[in-house]
Amino acid sequence: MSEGAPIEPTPAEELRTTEVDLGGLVNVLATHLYSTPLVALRELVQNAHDSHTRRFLEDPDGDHRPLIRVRADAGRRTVAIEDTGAGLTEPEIHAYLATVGTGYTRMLRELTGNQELIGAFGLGFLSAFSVADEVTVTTTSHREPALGHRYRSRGGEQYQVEPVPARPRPGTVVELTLKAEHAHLADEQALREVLGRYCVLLPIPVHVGDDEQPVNSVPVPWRHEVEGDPHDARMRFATAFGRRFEPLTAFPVDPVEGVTDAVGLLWVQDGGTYGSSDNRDLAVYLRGMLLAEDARDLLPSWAGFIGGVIESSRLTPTASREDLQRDEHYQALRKVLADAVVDGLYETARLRPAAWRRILTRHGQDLLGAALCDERLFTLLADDVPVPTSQGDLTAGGLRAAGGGAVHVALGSGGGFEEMLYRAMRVPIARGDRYAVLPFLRRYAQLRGCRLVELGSEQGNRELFRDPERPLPPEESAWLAGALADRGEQLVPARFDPPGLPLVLVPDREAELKARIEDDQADARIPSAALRLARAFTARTDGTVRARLYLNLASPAVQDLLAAYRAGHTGSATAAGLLRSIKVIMAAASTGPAEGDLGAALAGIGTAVSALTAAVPVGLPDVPDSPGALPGPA
Amino acid sequence: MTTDIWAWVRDTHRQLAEAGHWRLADAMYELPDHATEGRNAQLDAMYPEAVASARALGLPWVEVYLRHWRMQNLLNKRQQGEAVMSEVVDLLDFAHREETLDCPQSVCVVQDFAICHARVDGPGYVAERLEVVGETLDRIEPGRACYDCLSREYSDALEDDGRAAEALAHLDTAAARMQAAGQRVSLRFHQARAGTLHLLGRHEEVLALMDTAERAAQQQGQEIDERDQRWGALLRARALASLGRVAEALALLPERDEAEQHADLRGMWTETVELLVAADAWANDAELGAVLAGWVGYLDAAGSHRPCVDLLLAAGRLALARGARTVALALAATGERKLTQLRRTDGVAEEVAALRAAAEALPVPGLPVPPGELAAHLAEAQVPYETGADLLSVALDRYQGEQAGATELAVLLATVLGGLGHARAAADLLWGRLDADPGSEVLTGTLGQALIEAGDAEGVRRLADRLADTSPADAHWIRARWAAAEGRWAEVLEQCGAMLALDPALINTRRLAASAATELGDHATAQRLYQELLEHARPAEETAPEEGHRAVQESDLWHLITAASANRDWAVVRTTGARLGMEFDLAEGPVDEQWQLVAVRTARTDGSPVDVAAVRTGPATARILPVLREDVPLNHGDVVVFAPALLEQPPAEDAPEEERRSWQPVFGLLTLLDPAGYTTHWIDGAWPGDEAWAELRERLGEADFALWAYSGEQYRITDPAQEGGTLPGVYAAVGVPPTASAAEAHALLHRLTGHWPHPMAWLALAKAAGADVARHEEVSERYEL
Repeated sequence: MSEGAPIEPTPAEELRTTEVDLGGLVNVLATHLYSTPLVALRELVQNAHDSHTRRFLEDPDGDHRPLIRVRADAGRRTVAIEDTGAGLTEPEIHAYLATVGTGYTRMLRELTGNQELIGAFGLGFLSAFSVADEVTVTTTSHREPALGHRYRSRGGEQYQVEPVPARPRPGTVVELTLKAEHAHLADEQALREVLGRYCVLLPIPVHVGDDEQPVNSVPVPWRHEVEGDPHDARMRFATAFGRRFEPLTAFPVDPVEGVTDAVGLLWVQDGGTYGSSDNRDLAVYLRGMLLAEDARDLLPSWAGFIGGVIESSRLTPTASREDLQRDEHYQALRKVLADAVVDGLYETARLRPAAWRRILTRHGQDLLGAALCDERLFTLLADDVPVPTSQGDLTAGGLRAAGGGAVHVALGSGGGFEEMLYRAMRVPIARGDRYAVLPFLRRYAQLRGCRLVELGSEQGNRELFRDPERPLPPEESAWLAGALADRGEQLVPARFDPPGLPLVLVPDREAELKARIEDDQADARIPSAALRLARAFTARTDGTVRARLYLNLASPAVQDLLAAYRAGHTGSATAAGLLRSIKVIMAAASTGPAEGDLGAALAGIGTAVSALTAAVPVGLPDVPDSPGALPGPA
Repeated sequence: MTTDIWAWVRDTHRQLAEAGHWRLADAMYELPDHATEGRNAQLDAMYPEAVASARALGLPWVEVYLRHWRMQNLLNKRQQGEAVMSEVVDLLDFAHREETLDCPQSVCVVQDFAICHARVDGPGYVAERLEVVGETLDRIEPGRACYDCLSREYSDALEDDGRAAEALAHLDTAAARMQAAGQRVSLRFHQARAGTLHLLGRHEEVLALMDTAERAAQQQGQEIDERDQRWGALLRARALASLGRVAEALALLPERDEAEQHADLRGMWTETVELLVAADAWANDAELGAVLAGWVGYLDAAGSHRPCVDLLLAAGRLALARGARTVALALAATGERKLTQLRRTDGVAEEVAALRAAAEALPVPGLPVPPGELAAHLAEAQVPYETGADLLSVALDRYQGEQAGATELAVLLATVLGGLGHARAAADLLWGRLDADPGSEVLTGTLGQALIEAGDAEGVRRLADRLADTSPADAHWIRARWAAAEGRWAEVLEQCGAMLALDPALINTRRLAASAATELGDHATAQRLYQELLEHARPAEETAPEEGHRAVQESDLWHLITAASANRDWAVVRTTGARLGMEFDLAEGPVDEQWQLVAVRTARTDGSPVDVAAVRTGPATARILPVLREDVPLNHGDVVVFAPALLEQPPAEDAPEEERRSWQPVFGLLTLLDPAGYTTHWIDGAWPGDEAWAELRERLGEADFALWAYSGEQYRITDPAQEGGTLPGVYAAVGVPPTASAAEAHALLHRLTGHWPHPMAWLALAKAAGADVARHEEVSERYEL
């Protein structure tokens, strides 16, 4: 029996470990390095796994049935990790259980190049003390199958090793007597869940309690030749692994020669969470052990609907082994994963139309944004992804077809005269105020060579109004302007749809801005030098035209009005008054009242109705009521 | 007044998230990141929704915040100037209303306003910028984050006035004040200071400053983001190049692609490249020239007048060094135009004049061949573009023959200039040519095409107006093509109609008009136009190859067949088909034959495409086979007209046998000709076996019903007889003919499947039939359908 300080291990470079302040280090491990106490369990399972690998290396022909079993006893507040691996001799106990910063496995890996060995920092075992008051290790080495040893330590600084009867088979049991605050770890159900994720890629079966079924029994689709459709195998794995969401489809990540060795599986999640559209979920494994639970940054930022598992031996863990160093390989892998997502979505669209449609329905909004970030994705999605419109979700192609070859999108959040026009024409309008819609449609229009009408922009307005076939004679223009336009409104004869709409008032945004900036009240609110400069800018706009009054020469009402005027019809002024009232009422409904007085406009309707229905005064000739009834030229 | 903007952002983010407005909450954090990192696509995706939400929720502070960050992106990352001035002024107004005046971000809007003037003409607005920024700086404490930004803006204005030493002193005073107030000096601030040191020629200090500033930032736990990495690399590369440390500069200089992607890098990148070119470490070639010309055009369009002039002067110096005379002259012309948009031109006016003088002083190349043969020579000798441009310019000057020859040279020169990135110069050249040769179809055609491709509506209108009197047909043609490019089909017909009224023999006009009529679904007009086209077309054997469009082409015949099919003009379908070598089983009556299996591509009600199996019944007609879901506007038995152009190419000769065998032609749906009137209902249940299923199909067929299975082999349903067991299932659509009622369909299905060992369920049909639905509910439940 040895007691007290550990004997000096060899080789010499490990001597420094005696100078490590273990108490301080354990404290660091417990409070800083590991985000959760569960990591200590991971480290111990990892040690058990390495012990098996070591046994295969040292005793390749031996009769060795690898198995790891983790038990918990809530009553005793213990967790025990048992393996049937190599076991330790007494000198090995001193050398490796009590040594920080080296670790047998790393030495062995460097010697043999075996990539299945996981541990690297020699901190693994020590981490047990971050959750346990006392740690007992009972072990029998396969090299001395008749001997047994028990290491026991409280706190890790002081330990003792005593002989015990040999274990029935070589191997090791590490038993943790948990600290009170970590008592909840002694729960086999919780262990099943945690280890199911940690150990899913370990080739050696890991059992919890007396379970016959190991927690890592789901076949890893990229490791094993599976029978049947590889897609089914991928879906089974993804379903077993995805904690938060069922997968809609799954696709592989394959190594890229000369770029990355990463291999694994990605899947599209069903549904989203409340609180964020970023549900990226990527677990990264290093030599079979979970290295980073949430490595979402490896996935493209637009892929909020993707979950996955990858393993790579070329990713470098940070000291905590819970995160990855952002090195060159990391960056290369990011690109590979982005490609894998795009490839996978292509495959899904091609081979699994039903799944593809579910993905489009479920993640349409995210896909719209994603399409903007990746050219290939855009090509894939351009015709399929639904766009929110005034008539429900439609694809861009659907919008285009319903818009007579043009795609209409509203820039504002509704209202405005343009939308009213299109509503009258029953043309669906995309909701440009929704996520990604406007830039998506802009690119769609560019790529598909179709017209994008942006309602609420200058260009959009120009689209609406076509030039008249012939300019109106100045005299008629003047009469119409006098009869229909209010102060600050410029009459613009044009043609537009629908023909049922005789006229529409379009406010001039520049003039509005000029009015606000040049208003005396601006002096009180805007700092003077800035205001002077702003006024220098607005001085360049004329500002006398507050709004343009587009008169629809294609409208029967306007044609009749002009005909009546030309014929000197006495009703033409009444008819013009009616149109003027309609103008004011519509403007008030869409953009707020302009120059016109809404009350007066409403009263004007009454006036017009009474004029049209008034009895013909005795003594006057009958007033003809339509141009057709006018007497022909004499 | 809240002074800590980030504290307010955190608070607002939390409140929004708690209230369930998490997308807007996310935008509060992500939008400034996207904006400053130059992730323009992501910014554009997020911005409209975020602003609309802020407005809808009545959060004017949030609106100021979002608009400010987007404006930062537009001004800094995308180098917009005049183009966004009215938006900046509007934002300035909005940020100084009663409800926004106390928003901590309102101050920053003043900075946006100043930056916009710096883009338009930094030196021209020095006094105003100093005044605007100075007045705001006076109002805020050095402890506020805005003090940092505004101080940089102030020093930028001093630099634009040639007062770099003062700018440095200003920065240092500002830094001291911020530190005294406990405010950390930002990395951007140090980068700005590095820029000032550069102007003072203190390049070594630039390098030292960047190192210490980045280290300090990292020590404070700040990650050097991608934007800062790029700026760090570029500032260092420029300093190193200035110091003659060429290899180090080359190693650090960001790739040209990065400058393509991030407009803010372009000025400094070009400056560095100029230094490298001078040191013989960078190839000063036409490709570089074309890239710079593209950037000049970008700044021109963005109304970033001053950076545009600065960049075009650099491009001009490089062009002079290459001896690219025409390109240098084009740049000088752009410079002269841009000078009129500047407020202050001292210095740059002289430089632009010097550029012109130096360009004109470059040797004029001798022509290797007479001007008339130059075009052929350039192609044959594969003369580089810039040399070609110089030769074409000379040829154009010296050309003495007919106008057509000069026009040909001008058109070619314009094409070359366009390829070299000088789209505007190319258009100007063609416009100029128009005076000399107003009747040239090649000229108006090329110019019109260029304007249409550039989406220059104003230019198209100007050209058309100009041609309206002299050659009205050309004017209509340009308007027609412009309308076609924009999908305004009715206008295409209108314009083409006007042309045909002028000259009834036109061929291509009819093609365009007919395609517009087809787009509008006016197949009668389309057919008439194609038939007229056949009458007026030249016989193929009498037509020279370059006039091929005047002869009948095979596609004309196909289009005629399509239109005639849609119009049920079967005689025309047959005669036209015969011209294409088709044989028909019957000589008269509707064409209704059985040719081959095809797929017809149509759109679901949401617009997404779907391919539907069909039997081709004629050259352009097919009968739909499957019983379809409600979201496809066709159904079993419908006869449709399709456009007989293959939408997908057949597999290559060497493609796998399987692929070649399974390939089917896919055609686009044109119109529904004869609806068969089938209604779709669904049946679901256990698979009865091949024989029973075939029998069901046959019996249904006898009653004019149709059946189409949707499930595959993997479809399994619960076996109620066995715990955890499953049965093979089938899910199928039954097409009910218009002659049968739902009740009859219900009864027929009962009769045909009632004896099956496992009952089928058709809940919706039973409901529609007014029958008892309990049985169907029970089956659905028992088999977990």
